[in-house]
Amino acid sequence: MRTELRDLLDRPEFPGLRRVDLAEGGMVLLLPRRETEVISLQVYFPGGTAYEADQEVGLTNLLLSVMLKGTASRSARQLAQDLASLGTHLSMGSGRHHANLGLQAIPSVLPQALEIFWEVLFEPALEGQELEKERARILEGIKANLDRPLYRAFRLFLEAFYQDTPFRHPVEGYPLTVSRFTLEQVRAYAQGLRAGSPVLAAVGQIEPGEIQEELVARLTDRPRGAPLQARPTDWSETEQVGRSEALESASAWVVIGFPAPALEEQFHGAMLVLDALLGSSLSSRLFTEVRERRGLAYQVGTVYRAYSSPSYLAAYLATDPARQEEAVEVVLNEFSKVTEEGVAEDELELVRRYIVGTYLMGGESSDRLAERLALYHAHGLGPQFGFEVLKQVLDLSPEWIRDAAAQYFHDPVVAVVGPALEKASEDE
Amino acid sequence: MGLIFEELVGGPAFLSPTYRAPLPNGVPLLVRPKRDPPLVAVETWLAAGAAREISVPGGTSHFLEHMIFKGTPDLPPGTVDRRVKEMGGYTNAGTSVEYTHYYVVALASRWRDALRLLWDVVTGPALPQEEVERERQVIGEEIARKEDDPEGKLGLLFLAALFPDHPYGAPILGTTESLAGINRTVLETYHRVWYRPPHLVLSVSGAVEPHEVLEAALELAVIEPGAPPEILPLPGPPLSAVQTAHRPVEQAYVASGYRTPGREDLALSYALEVLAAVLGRGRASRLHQRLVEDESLAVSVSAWTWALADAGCLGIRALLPPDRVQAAREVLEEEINRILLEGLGEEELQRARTLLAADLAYGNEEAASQGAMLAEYELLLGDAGEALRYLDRLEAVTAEALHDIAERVLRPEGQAMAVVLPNGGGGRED
Repeated sequence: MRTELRDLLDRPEFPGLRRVDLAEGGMVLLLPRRETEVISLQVYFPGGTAYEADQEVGLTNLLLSVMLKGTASRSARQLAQDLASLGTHLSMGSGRHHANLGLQAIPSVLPQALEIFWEVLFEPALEGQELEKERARILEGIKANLDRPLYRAFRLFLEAFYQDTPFRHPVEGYPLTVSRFTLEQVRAYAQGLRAGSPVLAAVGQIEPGEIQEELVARLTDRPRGAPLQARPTDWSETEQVGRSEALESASAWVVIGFPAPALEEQFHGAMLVLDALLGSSLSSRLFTEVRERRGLAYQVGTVYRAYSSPSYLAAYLATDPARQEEAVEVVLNEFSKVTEEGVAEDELELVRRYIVGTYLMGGESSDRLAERLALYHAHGLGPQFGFEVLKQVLDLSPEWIRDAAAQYFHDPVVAVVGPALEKASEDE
Repeated sequence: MGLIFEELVGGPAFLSPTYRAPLPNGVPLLVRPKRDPPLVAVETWLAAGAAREISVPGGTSHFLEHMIFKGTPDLPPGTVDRRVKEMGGYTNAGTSVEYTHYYVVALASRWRDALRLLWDVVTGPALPQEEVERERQVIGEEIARKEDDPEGKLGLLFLAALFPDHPYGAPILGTTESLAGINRTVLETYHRVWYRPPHLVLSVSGAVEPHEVLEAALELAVIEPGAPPEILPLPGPPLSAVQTAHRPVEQAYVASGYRTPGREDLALSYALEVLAAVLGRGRASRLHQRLVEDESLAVSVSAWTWALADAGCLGIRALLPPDRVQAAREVLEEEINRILLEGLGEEELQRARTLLAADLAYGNEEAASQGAMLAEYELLLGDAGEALRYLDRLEAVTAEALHDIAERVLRPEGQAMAVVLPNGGGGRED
């Protein structure tokens, strides 16, 4: 099996990939896939949380929302109808280091879909009435997010974990910031965003020779100006921190997290292993201990958020409030165990296979492939990054895994959202 | 042997080719070869869901789903998932009103192991007694988790209003009370009825050779047919009063809808899908334009349909500030009346068809999605080929037919509504 996995990883991750560098920064990536009937485009610009001052938190998200509300030649309604008539979807996303716009289309309508895509990207109307509508919708959406206990628990965790850095902020912003953005601010931010170096990935049933010229020309001829400037994001690890927030919920929602290596750091592969070992799949350690053996939770798992900046691995679960302390203790104990005892080779081998297999599964969807391709290049990682990391994973030793755990799994940040429990009396 | 391995013809390229063979044990086998990437998805679909829980406690189907993963007499608890990991894959399952399905997605080179493993655990589970008690606790936590989710709570309320005192409207997870009535005997008996032909479908999709899959499927253990199921009574009319729950939330979560005929009228089911797309699929839809854009009443709105065997639903969901619920209801009523009075235009109809067809393509690139779609159609309609005819069915829907159906279905006596509001109210309600 190991040989089979190596053989799979020794081929190009993106076979047939064509890359064209733009004259003044940025690139176009074209990946034809004959076996699919769809086309996905993703374009990433430098932007997002790392480019927003504290009083600008949520500006990227607001801008992207308003961009989808009309162009120089189409009203918001006309834009929606024209997209629907083509069966085409436009999407947007704001992250830590990038803002992205996406397109999903069927091949027969690509020319018309692209025409709309460029209008939205380079000639959005950004007009006052639509700005106000989107502002109102986002403000109500912020409230709706807080209706979800797991979201609140993660927010609490991120605020404690990232302390004074921009990464503690939610991408949608706060009521105080979003309510104050002006149209001039939004337009100025749009200019700065478009002036950055774009990475565009087109994946699916495309003929590179037919669309390459248009994609390159449109991005090369985009309006210029001063690109956005990234803010300082210096961060130092926290000491052990606990935060809690009262909520009249049936369950206590718990997030326990630790620092983790960034994408290019030496322990990144090891952390992928630890994430899978601890919290992915129905036989992960947390699933086995928290749910199967003790019945403490239905939902328990881990997430490893690896960025090109301070990253984290966090466990999360929902449990009976009366057993919340037990749940936290069990989770922390599993992290301690892997730090002290490491992982046996046979268990490690299962995790290696799981990681490689599930990574390949992520490459079936054109949309996810386009995101992966664009993100790797936007971070300067190159097209073989994913497979190279997986090859490292195949060679990682149990000792290396334990070293990674020892380096990162100390001083947890614990966030709990749930009913306030009565404190035990001092005599007990 | 005379076994027919039929290629299902027609349909979109992402479902072509698809092969079907009725196995000697009465289980239909579907194979959808897809060369790249080198993965395989094996699915088993069983006609066991909340709708079958007539003389067993509510939540039995879902409880059994949990117990299947506890292994077989030869596979102790915890080993099933490890076996799947060893194949470079993952496994999971889901229970709905009319079905439960299990799947393994793994590296294609291990397709035989995946097929064998899934078949063995689904048809021959051990159902260890000590695990029954542990799972009762876990499912209790799952129920509590759903109580904390306003969308989850809304769904429970709405279905209970639409299909009162009927298994269609019962919570799939059961209740803490009904869970207490589920024991190993109940699970074992239920398994003997429903995890048998003719209530079972097997599909394999991915980088496989169809005839090799057929040969391997013929070697799977033979299982005796299940007992005939009880006849489900027809559901009574929906509740007229708005069903309301309060939660520690800031927004209002609203579901409104109409009872419709079920799959017994297939042409109507397709027409209702188009109607739902016109009403609430995407930004160009009528309700999005009125409620979100024109009136700024809602944060989001969508419409959907659900066709069960002998009843169905056209539903609308909205997320909005609590003080706008009444105004939104009035707008919704206006839009329904507009459809009844004016009908739908051809341009709007074509937009809906185009969107549905495109979304079908976007959502079915993966072998697992393709296999699941085929298995679902085979189980619920007895004909996987109907999945390949989906686009043709959409094209056959006319504006006149839609208007007739709207008049038939969009009637006050068939309407139900549910709302989740913030604690302390915050919105007008009937």
